[in-house]
Amino acid sequence: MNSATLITRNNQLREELTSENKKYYEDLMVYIRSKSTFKRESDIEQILFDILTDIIDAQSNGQSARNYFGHDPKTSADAILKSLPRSFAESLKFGLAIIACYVLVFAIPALISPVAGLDLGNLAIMAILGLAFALLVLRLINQSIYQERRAFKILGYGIGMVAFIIISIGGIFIKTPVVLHLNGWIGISVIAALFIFATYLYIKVFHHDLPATIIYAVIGIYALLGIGTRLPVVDEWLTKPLLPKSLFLWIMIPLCIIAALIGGFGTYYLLTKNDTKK
Amino acid sequence: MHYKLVGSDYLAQTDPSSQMLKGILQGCLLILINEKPFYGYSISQELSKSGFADIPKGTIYPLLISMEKKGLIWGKRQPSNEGPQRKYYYLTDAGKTEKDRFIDQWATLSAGVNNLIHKGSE
Repeated sequence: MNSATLITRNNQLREELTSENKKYYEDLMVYIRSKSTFKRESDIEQILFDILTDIIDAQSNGQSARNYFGHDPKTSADAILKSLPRSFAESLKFGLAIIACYVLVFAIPALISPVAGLDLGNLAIMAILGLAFALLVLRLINQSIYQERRAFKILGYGIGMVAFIIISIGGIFIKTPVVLHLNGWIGISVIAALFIFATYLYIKVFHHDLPATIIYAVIGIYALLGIGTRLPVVDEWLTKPLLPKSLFLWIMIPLCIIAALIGGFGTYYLLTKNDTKK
Repeated sequence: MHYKLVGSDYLAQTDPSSQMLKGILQGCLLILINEKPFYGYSISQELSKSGFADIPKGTIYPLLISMEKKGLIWGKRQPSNEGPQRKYYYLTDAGKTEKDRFIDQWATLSAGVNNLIHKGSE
């Protein structure tokens, strides 16, 4: 069985657990997945699947998951993670996927106005910061699972949100001299190419699940706007400024907070890899 | 006198006594798997029957992974009697050698320890 099959089977089998056992197992699962960025996904999914089937066996013999697997799942989970080798290919895949998503999500909107140009330096800096942020979010989720003290949990969410706001605002205000102007048909071609790549990722990698659909739809609108501004007829009524700049910042901050909340819960949701197509 | 192998954290810690317990548990797994192929849950049931009921079974999984990595056992997915496919573990030649070595070591060790205990209680 490959990882995708294992994840699907895992989603189905998990429904057989009692609510108490399900909570115990899902905590273990999210803990292991959020700490396995640099491990091979197939290794992780196999061991998670084996543990799940064993817990189901224990459950049908009247033994709870806690009683079977132990009262200190964190220590066992860490030992499992330690025994699995690191994978360079998997790490690279993770890094490239995050950077590619970041570039798509931010480059397409940045291409809306043909006059402003695309700041490649900003894009590169922000993509790397975005990767660091993704690692930070995973780390914070991982830390929060077996964290008993509420204060530390809240502190974790706080750190995540501050980091997100800094990155979002940095993305707007950091300027570098490496600016690429893409006018006319060249611009349209670049936007179209990026959008085709986004479509590929959306279908092949994210299997059109719900969070990806929302992001994909937004990127789609931006792509259309970007193409529109490069067409002479549409250009005129699209480029009129809608809001003054000072007001823009006050709208950005609450939007960032909302986006951070969606991002945090979205990541948790992706780690449980719930089957949305059921 | 009855000695019980207890403590939920023993096997997971890194102090020498837990390293010893890990080695013993590995030896027990080698003996079990040599009898017939086992998968995770069936191993834990056999261990419980043999008096290892108090060992949290979460400690078996990392041990199986590292034993597979060391080439002592190998796993194969195959259908089980009930439910989904299970990963059954088989002993390799290296595993058989390691099992014999463990039994020898254990015989020497337990004889020595027993001698000391009996001498003390006389």
